Amino acid sequence: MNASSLRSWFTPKRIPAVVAGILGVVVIGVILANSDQTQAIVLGLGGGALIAAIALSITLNYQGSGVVNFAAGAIAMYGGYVYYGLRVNGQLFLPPIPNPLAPIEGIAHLAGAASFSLPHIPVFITLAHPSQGTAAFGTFIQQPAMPVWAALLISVMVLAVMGLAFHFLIFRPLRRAPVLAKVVASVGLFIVMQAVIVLRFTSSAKSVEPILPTKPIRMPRGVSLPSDQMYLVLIVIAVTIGLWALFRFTRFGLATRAASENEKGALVLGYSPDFLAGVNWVASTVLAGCFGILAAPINQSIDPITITLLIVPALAAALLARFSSFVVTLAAGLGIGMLTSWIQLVSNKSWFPKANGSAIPGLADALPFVIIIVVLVLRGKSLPTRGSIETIKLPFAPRSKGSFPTTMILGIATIGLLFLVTPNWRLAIVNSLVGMVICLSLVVLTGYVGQISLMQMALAGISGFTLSKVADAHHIPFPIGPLLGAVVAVIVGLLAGVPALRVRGVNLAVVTFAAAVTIENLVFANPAWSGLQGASVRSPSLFGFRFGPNDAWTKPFGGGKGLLPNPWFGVFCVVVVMVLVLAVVNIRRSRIGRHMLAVRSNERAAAAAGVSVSGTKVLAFGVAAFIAGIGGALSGYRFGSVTAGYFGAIPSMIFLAYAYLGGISSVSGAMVGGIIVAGGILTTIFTNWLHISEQYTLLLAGIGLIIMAIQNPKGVAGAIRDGVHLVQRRRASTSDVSDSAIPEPVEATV
Amino acid sequence: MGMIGRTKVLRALRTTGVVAATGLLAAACSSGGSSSSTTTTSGGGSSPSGSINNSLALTYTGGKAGAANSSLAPVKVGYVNQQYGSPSYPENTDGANLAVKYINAQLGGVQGHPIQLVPCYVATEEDGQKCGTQFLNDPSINLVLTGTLVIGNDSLYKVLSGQKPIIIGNGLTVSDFTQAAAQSYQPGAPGVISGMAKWLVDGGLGSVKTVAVVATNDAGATASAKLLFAPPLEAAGIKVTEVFISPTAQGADVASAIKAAGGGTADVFVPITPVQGCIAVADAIKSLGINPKVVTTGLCFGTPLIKHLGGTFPNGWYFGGYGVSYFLPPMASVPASEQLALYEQVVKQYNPNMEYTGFAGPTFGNMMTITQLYNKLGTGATIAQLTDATKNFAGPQFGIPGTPVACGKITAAFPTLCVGQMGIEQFLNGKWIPIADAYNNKLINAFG
Repeated sequence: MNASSLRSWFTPKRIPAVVAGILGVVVIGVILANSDQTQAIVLGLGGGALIAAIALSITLNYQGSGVVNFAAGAIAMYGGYVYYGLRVNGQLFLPPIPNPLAPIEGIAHLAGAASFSLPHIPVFITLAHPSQGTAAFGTFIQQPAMPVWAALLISVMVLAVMGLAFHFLIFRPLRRAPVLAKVVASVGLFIVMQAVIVLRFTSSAKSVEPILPTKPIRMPRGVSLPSDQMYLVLIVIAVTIGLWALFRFTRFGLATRAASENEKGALVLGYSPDFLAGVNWVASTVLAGCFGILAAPINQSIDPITITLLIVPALAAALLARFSSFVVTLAAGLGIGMLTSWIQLVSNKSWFPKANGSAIPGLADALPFVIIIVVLVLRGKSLPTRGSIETIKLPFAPRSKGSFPTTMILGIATIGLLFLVTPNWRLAIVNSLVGMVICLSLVVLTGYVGQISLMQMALAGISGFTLSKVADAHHIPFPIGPLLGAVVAVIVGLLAGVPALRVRGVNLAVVTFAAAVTIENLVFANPAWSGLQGASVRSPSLFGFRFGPNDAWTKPFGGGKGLLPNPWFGVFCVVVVMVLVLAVVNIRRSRIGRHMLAVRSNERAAAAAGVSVSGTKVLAFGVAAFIAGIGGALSGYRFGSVTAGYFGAIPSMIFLAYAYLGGISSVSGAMVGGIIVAGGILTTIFTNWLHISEQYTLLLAGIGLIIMAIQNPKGVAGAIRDGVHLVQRRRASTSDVSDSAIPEPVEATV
Repeated sequence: MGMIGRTKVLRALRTTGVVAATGLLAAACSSGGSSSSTTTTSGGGSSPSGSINNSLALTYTGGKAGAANSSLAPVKVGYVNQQYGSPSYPENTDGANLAVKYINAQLGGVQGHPIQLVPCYVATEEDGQKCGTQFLNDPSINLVLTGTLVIGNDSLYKVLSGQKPIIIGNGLTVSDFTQAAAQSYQPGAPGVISGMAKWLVDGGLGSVKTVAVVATNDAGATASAKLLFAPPLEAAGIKVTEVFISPTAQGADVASAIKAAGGGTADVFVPITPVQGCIAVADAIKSLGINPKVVTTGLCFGTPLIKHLGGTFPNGWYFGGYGVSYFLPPMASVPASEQLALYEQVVKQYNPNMEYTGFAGPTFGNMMTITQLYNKLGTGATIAQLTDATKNFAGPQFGIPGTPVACGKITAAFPTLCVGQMGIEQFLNGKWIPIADAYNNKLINAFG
């Protein structure tokens, strides 16, 4: 290269890349010069291999079926438990299966025949018995029941069947469904798998014996790595090469790649996209599950959380590879693992910024979010959106009629109920009201604008923590305190929502999920922010009248001290919900609402019609964050405190599920979503009337979510609306009015 | 009916199907069609098998030998535990249920009345408030016992807030020890962690200049490390390096954290993690090829660690606990150790498969204490009487050697605490050795 060609190559555009390259070389040099840092990076290989394996499974899924599987980590964890059950106890566990005889038994019990019993579906299938073991320190150490090869073989078979079941029962029916339905179904699958494992094995960690050799490999300069981690890395590299070859050189792989671009392409090659999706589901499930089996011993134990939550860095790795390149996915997964480990080390160095004198907690967990943001900034609009044969739009977003009188009537009726019902029902109503507020925020953002957010609870938490740590700490009175919290939530929501200007659909879901994880670990769990003593929230009070749920109250009629919770807090919640409902209804009716629906329907068409797509999205993020912030403040008042776990990433995911189940594109859907939330009216019906143990509520919610995503994307509220519409039609037809007299709801446009 | 109408009917039917399927599953769930697996553990490793020597238990509870009269009205105790979710602590419930079975079958219940647990389980924050509301408004319940709660505990305490007495079982978060209107009869994390720090400062391990800490980044462990452990060491001029790991940290992350904290070079290495973290620490130490002096808490020596190591414990480790051990033989001069042995006998007789280490024992002990209080006050004990009795309970607490039991007077920082003494044992060459505990009469006064 001569001087002139070098000059022509070195354009201003390339300066950042050159600077980054030089910095990279310097950093690598510094790291390699330090044996501690080299050791940290090497130790990150094992974790990175597992992240890469889950990311490969996600990529495989996406290539084959267009689904970004949020349950991939849960599948890996589930695979680990299948193997554990077989190897240790010789038992194959079964998920809870509906027993058609149970209602008969229940009726017989109600009729007084308490001893009447019909066959139950087994919980475990015993395939081998553990041999006698020895007792040591009061603990029975039993020998494994099944050889490694047999347990592995059966586990792989089970995983293959699971993959087929996921395809045929869940994702095949959703092939033409909107992205949101697929995300929600995979969230449902996540919930179900975790709930099944907790039911069958409890949440306590189970010790797992090694499969791969564990002897440490000693490297130069005192660096060592357990050999099982090295083997895991080699296995994941081999799998990556295999996948790469399969997708590059075989007709099946080419067809899958074609289908990932455009399903018609696969049809031209003579492959059914449905068949390709099925095969890829089996492959991805077996892949994730097998690495779960191999990784559990490397983590020394298996529990329902650890591997499951690797979904966050795995999604980051898959996104970095644009859900397409297996080799880049591998490199990204290993890189994230090594970088996380390195950050863990250097964040404790004296030169690294500190929080309260200690390393900033959650910094390593924030890494995937940073990577995602960098990727989006660099190439946001080039991220893929998969081409399918036909896509059904998001559910209809109805324009409410007569909402003011309906809201007033329902509000007044709820206020009446708050004073009439027993305390546990009053509490259920309050919980549902707070849930409705969070669901309303999702109606605006996801239902109206189509932006999938998995961080609404994190934004609610920002408000709750602001209320506790800023407003209460500085004696800022009610209602300025909660409003301040909501404003801070808006600021954070807007910042986190900036990537939404560049991405959409499932990519945005990944971004917001990573943002929620980061907020949870870096902010809520950070003692510098949330404190070590917890974050209390003072009871709300106005003109000296305290109306927190635990404040004493006097019965309005007849006097006397009433039972807690204080119904006046419920009244406050009702008023807040009514105001927000009317506000959201008015947004839907207004020009802004029409702009939102236009953006949801087709961004290019909306822009062509003069709608500011960016402005509308930013506005929606802001409004939704404000509503979520109000919900967070209400939640703080409700419990008298705020906690990191309550406002984390998983609750955000579960709240999207509640909102979807209720009906994400309508205000009435948010009301139903609120009824469904944990501790809400439906849960109370389950436990108080149907006497269903609390241990099943999460499982039932997950199953309900999957079924609803498949059968009725409009949610419960949509089904009710359809039912009402049907009755109207029947009435109309009996009055000799033709079908066309009553307009059918159609996808909203400008 | 037109095409659209048919579609709607189908959709309505499908929605009905969702409800029906969910209902069917619910029916299956409520009819007990499934169960959770339990850890296979044989309780009472160090105690002889055979019938239970009830005299010790009867002396403690003040009851009469024999079964309670099931036709009499039960004495109800509200019981809250974190169960079913992730994380959950079902071993507390095993301990509480075991105690109720034993008390009603062999200790005459409360003055002949059977004692009855009214459980309320917590898996979400909302549940804590629900349980508080339920017990606050239930006139048949005058006393509430908790197992372990890391979710919903604050909500529970805020609802009950001095209106009904609470005995906090195995507290893990700061909130569990800062309640003025509740009592904890175990030294808990504040006592054990502070005691470990005091022991190191006082030269328990000789001259210590540097301490490396790896703690889980959760409310309990963070507070333990930052509030209780590091300050006294730093005040004594000992350099403390703390590294926090995610509760979901993988094995490699733990190894990396040990490196970052300087676990291999510090004079003492202190992991403050639950048992799965301890397993990871034990393996990481092996793979890193380091040989630190490890001082950790009793949370480490649970069954999973024993199983993982093939029936043993990490050699040379020091464990901070309540001052008596499941793994050391009882001594007549240490009543708490005999009570612990009695508990292990009860485990063998009533539920040999339960996880008897960890939180089950202290919860069993709390039920024994509650029975003692009710036997003294009578079955009609009022809320005020029970509030006084729980506050003024002077001990000894069943299975806990620390004295005096003086609620609210141990340390101003943790008004809930009633006991401030703890002990340390070492596992060395296959044997447990008392270092500073009740067996050698060297209990450490954590706040003294």
